[in-house]
Amino acid sequence: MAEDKYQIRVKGHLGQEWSVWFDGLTITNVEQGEAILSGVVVDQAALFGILLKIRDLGLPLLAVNHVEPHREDLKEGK
Amino acid sequence: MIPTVENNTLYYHENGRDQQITVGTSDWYAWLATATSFRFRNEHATFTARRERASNRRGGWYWKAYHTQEGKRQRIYLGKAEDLTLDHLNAVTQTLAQTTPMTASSTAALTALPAAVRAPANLLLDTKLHIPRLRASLVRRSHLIERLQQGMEGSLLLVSAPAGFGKTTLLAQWLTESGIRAAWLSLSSEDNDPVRFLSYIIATLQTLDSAIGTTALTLLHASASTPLKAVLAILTNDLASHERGRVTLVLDDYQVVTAEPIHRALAYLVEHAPSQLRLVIATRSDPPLPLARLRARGQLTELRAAELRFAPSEANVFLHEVMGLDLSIEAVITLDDHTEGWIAGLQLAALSLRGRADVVGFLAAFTGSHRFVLDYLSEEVFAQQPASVQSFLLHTCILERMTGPLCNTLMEREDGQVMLEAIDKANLFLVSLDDERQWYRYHHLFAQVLRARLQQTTPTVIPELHHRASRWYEQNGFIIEAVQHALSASDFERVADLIEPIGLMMALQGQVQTVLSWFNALPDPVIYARLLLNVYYASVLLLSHNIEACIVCLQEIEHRLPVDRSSVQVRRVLGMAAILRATIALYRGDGSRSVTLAQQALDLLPETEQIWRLSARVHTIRAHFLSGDVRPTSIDWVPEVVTSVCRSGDFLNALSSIVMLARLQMMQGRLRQAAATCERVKQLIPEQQVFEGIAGNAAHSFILGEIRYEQNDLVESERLITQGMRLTGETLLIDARSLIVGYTTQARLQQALGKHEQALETLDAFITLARERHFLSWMIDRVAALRAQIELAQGNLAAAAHWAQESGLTTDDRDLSYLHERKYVALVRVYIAQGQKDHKSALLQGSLQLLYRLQQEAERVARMGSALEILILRALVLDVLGEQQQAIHVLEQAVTLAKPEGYVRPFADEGKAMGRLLTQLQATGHGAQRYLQTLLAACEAGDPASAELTPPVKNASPKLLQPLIDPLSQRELEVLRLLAEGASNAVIAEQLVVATSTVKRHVSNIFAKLAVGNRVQAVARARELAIL
Repeated sequence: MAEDKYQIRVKGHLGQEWSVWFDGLTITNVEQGEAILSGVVVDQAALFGILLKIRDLGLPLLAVNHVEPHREDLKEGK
Repeated sequence: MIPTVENNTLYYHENGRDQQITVGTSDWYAWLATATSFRFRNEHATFTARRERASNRRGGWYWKAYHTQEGKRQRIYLGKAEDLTLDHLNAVTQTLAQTTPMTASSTAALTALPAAVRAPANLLLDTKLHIPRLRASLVRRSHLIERLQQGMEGSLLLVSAPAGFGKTTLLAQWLTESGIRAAWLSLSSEDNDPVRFLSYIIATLQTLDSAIGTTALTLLHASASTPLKAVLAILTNDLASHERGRVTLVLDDYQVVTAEPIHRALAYLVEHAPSQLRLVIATRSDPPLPLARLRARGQLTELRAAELRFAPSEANVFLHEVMGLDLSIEAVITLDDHTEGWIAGLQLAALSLRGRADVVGFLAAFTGSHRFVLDYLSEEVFAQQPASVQSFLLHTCILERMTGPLCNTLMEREDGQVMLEAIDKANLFLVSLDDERQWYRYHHLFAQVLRARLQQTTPTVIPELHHRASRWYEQNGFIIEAVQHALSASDFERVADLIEPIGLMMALQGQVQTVLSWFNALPDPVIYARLLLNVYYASVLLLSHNIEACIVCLQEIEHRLPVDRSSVQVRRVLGMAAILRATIALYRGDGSRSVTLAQQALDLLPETEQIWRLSARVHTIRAHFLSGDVRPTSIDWVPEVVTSVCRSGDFLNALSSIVMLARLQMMQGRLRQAAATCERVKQLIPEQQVFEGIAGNAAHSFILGEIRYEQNDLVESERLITQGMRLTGETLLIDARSLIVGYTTQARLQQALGKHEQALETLDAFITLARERHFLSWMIDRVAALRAQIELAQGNLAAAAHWAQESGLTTDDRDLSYLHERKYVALVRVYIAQGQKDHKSALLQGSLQLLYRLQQEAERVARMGSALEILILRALVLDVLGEQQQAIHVLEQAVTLAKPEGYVRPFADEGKAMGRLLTQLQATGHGAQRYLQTLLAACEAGDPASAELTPPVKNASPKLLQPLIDPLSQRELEVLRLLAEGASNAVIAEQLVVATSTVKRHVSNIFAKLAVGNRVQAVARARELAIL
């Protein structure tokens, strides 16, 4: 089964210790004071779980992107 | 397994073997010296005994008995080990049984308990109903308070913003300042059970006025499948008639609600809100309500993040006056700017700045950082705390709410209360939940940060913390919270221990969803390892309409039972499983299997399981519906069972036994007695609204509807059948036989009212339903026969003849048992019509023989209801055969049988032919002229236009001088005479020098005995009977 990768962009840099809290997503702090949480999310329920954690921290949410696997990867996968 | 004492013997497991010790022997006392707990069970109650250290710390060990009832724990001191004799332990259960209305043979049958004996509020946490206490010094936000005040003009106030914007504080401040008395509810995630949610709503409304919602609450807990709409309708009704002005209801933290039925309930409340209700919702995300529509109608006032942010002036007041800092105005503006007015951020910044000399350095570092404000500052603040505070914060953050003793258990220290007060004083995001400084919670944001930190630093301690919290909650009687923490600790054995004694009871009282979610969280092996828990799981599955899953669960139980099935425990479980299967069989219309299973259950269940045994006995009543045998000597045991069930408080079972007794009486042709039996439900639940809202009531509405139909009270019959149909729509769990009564009576009603097409559609709908639910074929056959009969009455002889041919029935058939009777009476009607048309006297002669035999069988087993219909048909056949004199003679017998009971429809449904015969009978100068007149009028009302206008026969019926089966007592006669004078209950109470409640009871007894529904009818009926 193809696993779904997501990138979630929030406002404000986050310490690496938050990674465990966000189900092991990788935290990358980028320019303009934004952070990107990225990694494999098992399903929609898990995705919403993460979004709710973001809501409950009052962390401003900027974007949620589904990362399309490369076409080559798809071919290999099949 | 917990060691258990039962039948004077201790059963436990040790060294891989089952062990037994007789209570009171030296072995028993030796065992007690090493044991920490055991369970004690007898016919009165069950309790868990625990060995505990005496609280004064000087004494040695003592035993205490814990007894859980509706989630509330009772504690009784048992004494030292040497005091634990059998007599003493038995005496304790009697004390428990007396203090608890329902002996906690925690194994109630698959039905509900009467609402009156329960106190569901015990399951609720009072702290959730308090407006959080305000801190002494606050920023006064007058412009927002003004907005809120204006919002009171509309119906909904929505405060929607992320965490940390001061929603709760603002609302508390507004309510305190304005002096508005509000009902407050702080929601938490375990409130996602609609029944629990509504219980809380009602509980909080009752803090304003204890009269609000009492009826709705009763209904909510009356059974496991109460339609929420009915509860809400009653509640809004209560609010609408609330006379003390406005009712303000605040729901804080609504974002935790995820259950769809709760959103729907809320939408209903908003949509149907009476003008008295103001709803205030504080939430982190917008609720799924039609907000746009409410906005357009001007009924919605919103406060959102933009309005809630601190303006620089407010930040200034906050930092100086609330947080006690001395900052330059530039510093304030910088902070407000960098936190974007986020109050939680400003508070963290202020905490970091406390006692720091280098303000400029801090500000530069803070504003220079791109880090998320919460992340950056909470780390700063945390690092500044002494180690003891850090450790306290980190460990107690797993709690939703905390109190000193709970923190002590968690920290294994004694300074919980001191720590909490110190943290509160330091303004470290602690919210005080009551005025007594007993319960607190961390601000949600701060709790999140702490939990993330705990998870990152020492995740291994988390289960142990939850375990300790669970133990504390259990010992203090908060079982729901104890279960939640045990689940968080993944301590499934503990969850199982906790839910075994109370889970089924909770589900029966409405919290099916909560209990089901607990069971679902348990790994299968944990459930399977415990027979009793397993059978409770099956019960809860059945209560939640999961019939297929219930069957799988039952199979699993039977599969795992030991080969040796002779032990009491195994027999008990088998007995309970048999009752569940008997109930399932019933939903499929397989009455005979249901009876067989119930009889098996009676053999298996120990005498101590009184409630389950009663449930089995109620099931066995159905045997008579199969055999058709209603001789007084055959059914004399039934009234006694009905009385026992009614006394047991097992409401749904009581209801169903009453309906069955009424059905038996109808089979006996005793319409009036059947109606009086139906009235007995009023003694169970006097509140009409509650009664009408209970799904199990459908069967009752149907049978009473049928009785009223037979008496030609079409208006009342239609009302009852419609009510029953509405209730069946809400639940799948209804006895298939009751559904037949409902659908066939509805079809007959529609036919009588000239709604011919609808009558056939009703029967077709039943047949479709019966096929979907796999009802037994005889049920479908029976309804198909009625369908043919109705088509015949509509003049469609061809269709009816087709049915007769397809049915394969003949007048010579030998098996005329009760199950087939309906088909043969339909067949005879078809033959009468064919005989009349084609002069086929052979068919008619055959019919006559068939009717003779049917009548013999009916009379042999005292089924006079059937005998009446057969006599009527015989008269009609004889009439067509030209045997006028004989026809009149037979009809006379029918009239004699029918008159005392007020039957009308069995004659009227036969139409014009019957009308002619009745006229002839009248011409003979028959004594019952007025009754015959009534029957004639009903027969002639065959055309639709006049049918609806026919007054119900109840009013037109002749005076029936018949002694009451259950005569009125002297006191009831006194009450009746005063009633006749128009006295109110209060006046009667005064005259007779008794309590009003006593008068009410007498009045309802009088109604039941006279088979009437109100005072006017009672007086009229009493005059008819010459009692008055």
